[in-house]
Amino acid sequence: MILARVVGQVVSTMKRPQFAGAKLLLVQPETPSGEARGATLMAIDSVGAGVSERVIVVLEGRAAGEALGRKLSPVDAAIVGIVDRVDVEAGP
Amino acid sequence: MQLARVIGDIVATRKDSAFDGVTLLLVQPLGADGGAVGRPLVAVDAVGAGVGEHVFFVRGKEASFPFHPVEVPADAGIVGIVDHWTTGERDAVTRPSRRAGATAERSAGTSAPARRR
Amino acid sequence: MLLARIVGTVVATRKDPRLVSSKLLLARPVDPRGTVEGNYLVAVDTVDAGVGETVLIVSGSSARMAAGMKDCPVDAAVVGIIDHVDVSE
Repeated sequence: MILARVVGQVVSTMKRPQFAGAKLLLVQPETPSGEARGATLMAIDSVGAGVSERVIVVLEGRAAGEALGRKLSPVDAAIVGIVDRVDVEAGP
Repeated sequence: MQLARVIGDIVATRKDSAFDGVTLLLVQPLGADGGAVGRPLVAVDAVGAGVGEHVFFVRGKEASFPFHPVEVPADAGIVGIVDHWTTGERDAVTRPSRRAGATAERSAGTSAPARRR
Repeated sequence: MLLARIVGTVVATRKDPRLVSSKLLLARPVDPRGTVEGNYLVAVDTVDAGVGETVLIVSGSSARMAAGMKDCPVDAAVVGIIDHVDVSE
């Protein structure tokens, strides 16, 4: 899984039926200190995350499909947790 | 998954037979600001997208799921057409601007994607 | 599978119900000599690892094969704590 920040929401009428009712969010992967890292991704939200919240994103198809709760879902990313706190050891 | 814009059609006569009737499109991944990110790639189309449209695509073997039980050897597939997206919280910016008619009148299919000839 | 150093913990109250009671660790891949490289990742802990330890992480769909992770929406699990790595040459 990776840490990311929710930066937006996507609206799509015409999509595969497995996405029916799913919330599609744009997430920006981040380092623990909050710096953006890499390209913006889209993820299914199953925990009620909102814009500007920090989240945990699972990046693997079946795991993301589990979050959606439908078989053979063509998804590869899902938000599975909202981060309260990240504790990082002091170090180099 | 990633936002993208369809930038081209791919025509291939000799290809894996599982691709028969499947549309191959060239997509350019986009960032949240709508700018291009990374290199264009080829994706199978499972929603009837066309050149110029904003879409989202899935990576990995899940790209082949819409064609089940046919096992399409694809690692990227378009699974939704984007109406618009917003970024930010209070001052949400809507991108791209809604285009009348273009995608709104179509409804999502509920069966396997059309396998065009 | 990859070698990684545990650099922190992640606390999330609101999460997928199948992750309740799972400990989430922040890890950073290391090369065989222990130099950190690459992006941070969040992994479920199944071996009671702690911050500062070098661990073995299984990623992708195989992560659900780690103890207790069947049918959980995870893509990385800590499945071992590394004692040492011997690199020839």
